[in-house]
Amino acid sequence: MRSGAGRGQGQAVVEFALVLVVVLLLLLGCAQIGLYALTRGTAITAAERGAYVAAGAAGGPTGPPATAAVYAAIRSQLASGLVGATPAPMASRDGECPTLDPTWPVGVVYVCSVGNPAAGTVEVAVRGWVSAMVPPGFGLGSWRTGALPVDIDDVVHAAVFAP
Amino acid sequence: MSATRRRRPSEGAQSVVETALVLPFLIALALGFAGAIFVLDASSELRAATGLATSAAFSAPYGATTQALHNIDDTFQRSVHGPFFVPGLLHISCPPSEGNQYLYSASYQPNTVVACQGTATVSFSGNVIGLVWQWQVTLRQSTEVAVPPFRQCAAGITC
Repeated sequence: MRSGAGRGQGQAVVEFALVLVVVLLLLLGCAQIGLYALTRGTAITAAERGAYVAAGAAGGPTGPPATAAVYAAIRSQLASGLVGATPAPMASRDGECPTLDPTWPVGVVYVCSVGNPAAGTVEVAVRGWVSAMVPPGFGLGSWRTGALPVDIDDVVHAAVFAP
Repeated sequence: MSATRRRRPSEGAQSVVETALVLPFLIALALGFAGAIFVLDASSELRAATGLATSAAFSAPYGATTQALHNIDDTFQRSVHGPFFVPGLLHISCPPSEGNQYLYSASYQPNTVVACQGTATVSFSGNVIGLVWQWQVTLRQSTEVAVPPFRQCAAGITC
């Protein structure tokens, strides 16, 4: 038969375990938010840089650069700043960059660039899913378990000179 | 003598009450932190969009002010996609009071800048962060871009 002291110890352990779960969840959530903000910040600046590259080349004789050229310009920036994901190029479809798809693999962020000569615009998209330690649930659009969305899309008007 | 002592039932209840009191503050602290991080994130996105939009001023030929202002606004609106921006409250302006001779002067002004100010409002209503951040946050970002030395000119304009 257990003593009263033993019961008290057991109760303290159970209480500690309950509180620990909540506190750990909060700590992990805060860390996750910080890492997610870092990842989004990297994606935002990379997309901005890619848009400048694409817009600068849009007026040239070869037209707006394809995804490969924009990807080459921002790949190292993304590779060093993305947390829980690696960058990869993605081709455009029907003249547009594909929208964020829930079936895409977690841990890959795609870079896409496409020009629209009729509208005089170039689009650079940085999209994908990064790994998450905790379920997001912060109203960040469509979410998947264990993943957070990165969906940056810049559409820029570019000067187009007559040949 | 044992180091542990027997806990009375009232102590167990006391710890539950203490936890119940402290936990909401911890959760509020975490949500406040999350809100602050997302405001900073939105500010970063606004800065990038304002910069790109200001650069779009040079996508139109010199002298085509209406087209330039349209390109600035269109680039801005299509480059701000953060999850917490209020859609109807995204604005960019490049007023004559900021200089902007390139946009509004009748003669070509090569050694000047185009200055624009982007404004956006962030709201957390509709998600759990809104329990703490119950007010809207208005963000402003200003950008200046130097006028490039070579431009094409709109019809009827002498550069």
